[in-house]
Amino acid sequence: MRTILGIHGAACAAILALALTLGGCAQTLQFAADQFGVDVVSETVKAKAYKAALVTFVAWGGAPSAECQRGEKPAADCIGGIQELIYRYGKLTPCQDTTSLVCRDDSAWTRIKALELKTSHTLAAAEPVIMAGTDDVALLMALPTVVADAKAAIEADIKGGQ
Amino acid sequence: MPWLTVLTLILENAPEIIQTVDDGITWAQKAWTSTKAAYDKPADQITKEELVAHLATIKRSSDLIQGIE
Repeated sequence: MRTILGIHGAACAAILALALTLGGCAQTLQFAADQFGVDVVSETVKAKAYKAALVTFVAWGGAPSAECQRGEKPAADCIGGIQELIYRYGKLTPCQDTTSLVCRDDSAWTRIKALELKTSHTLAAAEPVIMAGTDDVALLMALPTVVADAKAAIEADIKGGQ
Repeated sequence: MPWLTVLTLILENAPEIIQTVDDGITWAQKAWTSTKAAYDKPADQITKEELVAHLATIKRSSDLIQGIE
């Protein structure tokens, strides 16, 4: 029991730290937007928008190696972040097929899979924003909103599933 | 944050996912180290190509997850 608590404590502490870090990014960006408005946002704010996006992407999908980014390694060797945790859970044997205590609850898995898909799709929606170029500050400023929308969608899903 | 919500959902429904001390600590350390490195990276050195590459990896990983029956 002590071991299990220790493991959960370490995982939760790491995630909390990630959330706080990301929250700080979004708050800084929002503060800047509130203070200066989109039309007069500085290069620094644009850079912060990129940083908020990078930290968001790394927390969700990990930090892939150069080989992974070039598609030279199998996807299973490149998965990281929260997606890795989801993947590892999905690979467990369904509980109805095993007597092992370490197994996958299929009803939970269905919900987790749906949440993963929705979040990844929402993050992917940022690509046109990023590719639009650094001159379009309004689009860059939308990146934290994309993440906020994902959060709201996931929370709605969880409430709906209970 | 979405990842916090998802992690809570996982831990509530399936705490067995983190099976050993090594697994849990290794995963938490890796997640923390990579995210901190991203946070510490000078903002003016982040390129849109880098961000798009991350999104491509997220898409591949998502396809992998969605392929699990």
